[in-house]
Amino acid sequence: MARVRARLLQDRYLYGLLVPFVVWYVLFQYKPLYGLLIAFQDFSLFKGIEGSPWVGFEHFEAFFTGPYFWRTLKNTFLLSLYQLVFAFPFPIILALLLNEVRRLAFKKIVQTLTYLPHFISVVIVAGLVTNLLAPSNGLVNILIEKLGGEKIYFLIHPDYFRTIFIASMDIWKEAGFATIIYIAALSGVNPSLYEAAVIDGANRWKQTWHVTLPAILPTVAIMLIMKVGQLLEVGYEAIILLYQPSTYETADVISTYVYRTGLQEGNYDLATAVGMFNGVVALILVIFANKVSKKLTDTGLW
Amino acid sequence: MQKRWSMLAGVTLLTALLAGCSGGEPANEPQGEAPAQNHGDGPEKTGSEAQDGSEAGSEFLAAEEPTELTLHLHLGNTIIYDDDWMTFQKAAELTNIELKGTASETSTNSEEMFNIMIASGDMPDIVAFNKKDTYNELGMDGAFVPLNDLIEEHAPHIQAFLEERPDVRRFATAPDGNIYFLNFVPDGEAASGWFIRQDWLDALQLDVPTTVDEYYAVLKAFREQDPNGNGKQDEIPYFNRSTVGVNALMIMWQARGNKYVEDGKVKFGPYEPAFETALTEMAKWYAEGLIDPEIYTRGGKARDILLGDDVGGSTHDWFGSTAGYNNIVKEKWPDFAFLPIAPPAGTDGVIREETKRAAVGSSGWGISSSSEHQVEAIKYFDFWFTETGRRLMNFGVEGVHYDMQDGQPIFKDEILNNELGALARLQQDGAQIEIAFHQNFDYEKQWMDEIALKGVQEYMDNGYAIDPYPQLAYTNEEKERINTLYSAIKTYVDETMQKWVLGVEPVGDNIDAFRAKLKSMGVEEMVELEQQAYDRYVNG
Repeated sequence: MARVRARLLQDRYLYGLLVPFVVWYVLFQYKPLYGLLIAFQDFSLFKGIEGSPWVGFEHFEAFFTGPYFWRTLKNTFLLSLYQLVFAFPFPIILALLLNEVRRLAFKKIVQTLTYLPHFISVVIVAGLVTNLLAPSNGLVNILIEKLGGEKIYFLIHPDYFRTIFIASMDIWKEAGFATIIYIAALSGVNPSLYEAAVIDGANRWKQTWHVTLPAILPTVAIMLIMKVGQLLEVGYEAIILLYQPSTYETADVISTYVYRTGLQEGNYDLATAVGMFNGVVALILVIFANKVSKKLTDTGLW
Repeated sequence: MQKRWSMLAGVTLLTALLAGCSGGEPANEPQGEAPAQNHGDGPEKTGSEAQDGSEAGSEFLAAEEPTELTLHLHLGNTIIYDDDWMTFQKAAELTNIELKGTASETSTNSEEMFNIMIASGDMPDIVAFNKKDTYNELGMDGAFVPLNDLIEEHAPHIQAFLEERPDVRRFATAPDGNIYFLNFVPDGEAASGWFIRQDWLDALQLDVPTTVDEYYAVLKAFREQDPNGNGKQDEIPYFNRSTVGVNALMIMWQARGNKYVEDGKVKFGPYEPAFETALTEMAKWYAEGLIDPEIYTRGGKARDILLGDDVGGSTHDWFGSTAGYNNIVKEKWPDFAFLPIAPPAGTDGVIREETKRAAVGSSGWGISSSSEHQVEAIKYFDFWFTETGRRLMNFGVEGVHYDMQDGQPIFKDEILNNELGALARLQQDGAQIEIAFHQNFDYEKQWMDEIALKGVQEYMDNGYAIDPYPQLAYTNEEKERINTLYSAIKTYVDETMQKWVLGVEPVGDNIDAFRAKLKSMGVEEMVELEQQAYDRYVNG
C-alpha cells in the first residue's frame, strides 16, 4: 500500500495527465452502459429506467425470430467482408504507390485530391452516385450507350449494390484519408534497410515486398483488428441513402432494418437490444482477430 | 398541501404584480382559495367558484389574475414557440394566461426535444407534440392528465365542438377511453390531385382523359408522338417526385397499397385480388416507357427537372405547389400549361381520389399531470375554440394581418404578397400554428394559386376523395403485435412491388407465392387486430 502511494506521488504529474481521459471514459463510455438495461425492459420514456417493467429477453427474441434476421445478418457480414477484402487493402496500395513517387509536387497533389472526398458528407456522395448512375442521363450510362452497350438502372439491381456501395463510400470517399496512417508508417522505415537491399541486388519490386511491407505490417495488423471490431457497424446512413426496396435483398443490414422498424417507431428498447447484440458480436470478433494476429504477426492490441 | 398552497400564493403574488404592469384586472380581489382547492382535490370539486371568477371580466378569462403557464411547443423541426408571438400575446390579454416557452429555439429536431423534455422528468404545464401514439402511451403511463372531466366542466366550446365532430373525439380518445390530447383540426379536404400538360394535349389534339383507358392512351401518345416538338423521344409521360409515387396509379384498378376499409371490413391492399391486376398493368406501363424509368430514385426534384426541361407529362401531387410551376417555367416555355384534371375513372367506372387532407391533424397539445394549473390550462384551450380564438389563430391580429370587410376577415396585401409566402408569414407571428384549433379553409383560399384553387374546388365539389384509413387508437398489446407484424410485412411488400413494377420478375408467376408468404408472415392476424381497433373506433 505504502509502495503504491509512493509511486503515485512520484509520478503524480503523469497520473495527473491521465485524469481527464479516465474521466472521459467513465462519463462517456462506462456510465452509458447503464442504459443497456432498457434492452431488457418495456421501456417508457416517462417512467424511466427505474420505473419501466422488466421483460427479460423479449426484445432479443423478437429480433432473432423475426423473418428478416438471417437475411440482415448475412448482408451485414457479407458487406463487411467485402469491405475488408476490397476496401481495406486499397489505402495500403495507394500508400505504397505514393511512396514510390519521386516528384514531391505530384505526390502532394495526388494525396490532397484523394483525401478530399473524406470531407464530403455522405448525403452528397450518395447524391453524386445517384446522378452518375442515373439510367437516362447519368454519365456512366451515357458512356455505356456510346460504347454500344445497353443502359442499366444500377441502383435497383441487388447484384450491383455491394459494388456500388463499397466503391463509392469506402474506396472513393475514404481510401485517400486512410493512406495517411500508412504513409506515416512508411516514413518511419529505416533507409539503411533499402541501401542494404539494393546492395544485395533487390529491384524495386523486391524492395517493396521484402522491406517496405514487413516494416508496415504491424500497422496493417492493428488497423485490421480495429476494422474487424467495426465489422457489424456498416455505415447505415450511407446505406439508407443508397438502397431501394428492390435492393433490400443485398442491402438491408441489421442497422437499417432496426432503423426502419425500431427507431422510426420510437422503440428504443428494441433498438438497444439490437445494439447490444452488435456489440457482443463485435467483441467476440475482436478477441478472435487479436488472437490470430498475435499468432501470425506477433502484434496485437493487448 | 401546505407546500402547494404557499407555492401557489407565490405565483399569484407574482402575477398580481405583473397585472399591475400590464394594466389588466384589478389585483385586489381575493384569490387563491378556489384554484388551490382545485389542484388539491382534483377536477370534480372545482366547478362553480372558478367559473364565477371568469364571468367577472372578459368572457374569455381563464384565470382571475394574469397567470404564467409554461409550454413546450416544438413542431415539425422548425416551429418553436416564441414568447413574442403576436397572436399569443393577444390571447394573453383576453384570457389572462401568458405562456412561457420552454423549448430551445436553437434545436432543429422536434422529436429529440420532446423526448429529452419527457425523460428529464421536468414537464411544463402544457405540452404540444405531433405524434398521437406517443401521446396516448405517455398519457396512459400517467404523464398527462385525462381531459374528459376538465372539458366537461370548464370548456364549453371544446365540448360543443366535440359533440359536433364525433370524429375528432374518436381520434382524440386513447384506448383506455380517456382524452389526453386535443388535436389540431384542419379544414378543406383536397390535398393532391392529377395534373396533365394541357398544351401537349392541344398539340396532339387529344381530349382530357377521363378513364384509365383514355389516360393510358394519352400517356402512350405523349411517349410516341413528340408533343414537345423537339424531335427527340425524351418525353416522360408519368412521373412523381415521391419515391412511392408510382403507387398513386394503383387506385385506378381498385387496388390499394396498404390498409383500407371496405363496407366496415378492414383489408390489406396487397393481400386482395385487385393487387395482381394493378401490378400487372403498372409493370406493363413501366415497360412501355409510360412511367418515369427513374421513378424510384429521382426524388424530390423530379418536378423541377422534368417540368423545367419540358419533358414531364403528368403527375399526381399537391395542388398548390404543382400549379406553381406554371409561373416558374413560364419564361422558358411560354406555352406551358400544367393543369389539374379529375382523377381518371377506374376500370369499374368510379372516380376516386385516394388522398384527402386529414380531417383531424395529428398535432395538438395536452396538460401534464404535474401541472398546478390544469383548470386554467383547459380554459385557455377552450379560448382557441371560441369564434374569437379561432379567427385569431387562422387570420392573425386584426389591423395587423387582416381587416374586416363585410364581416369577413381579409388579409392585408403585405401578408398575401410576402416573399416568405402567406403561411410562413402568418406563422412568423404565431398564427396557423398547429395547436388544437379549428382551421378555416377561407384563410388558404385567399392566397392560393388560381389554377390550384380551381382544382381544389373541383375535387371538393365533386367529392372525389375517398375516406383515408382512420388513425386508430391501439392498446399497447395490439400496437406491439401490429408493429412487429407490419414492419416485416411492409419490407416484403415494398421489395416485391418494386421488383414487379420494374419487371425484374413477372407478377403472374409469383402472385401465389407472394400471398402465401404474406399469410405466413401473419397478415391475417394483423388485419384481425386492425379490425378489432377499428370496431372500437366506430362504436366509440
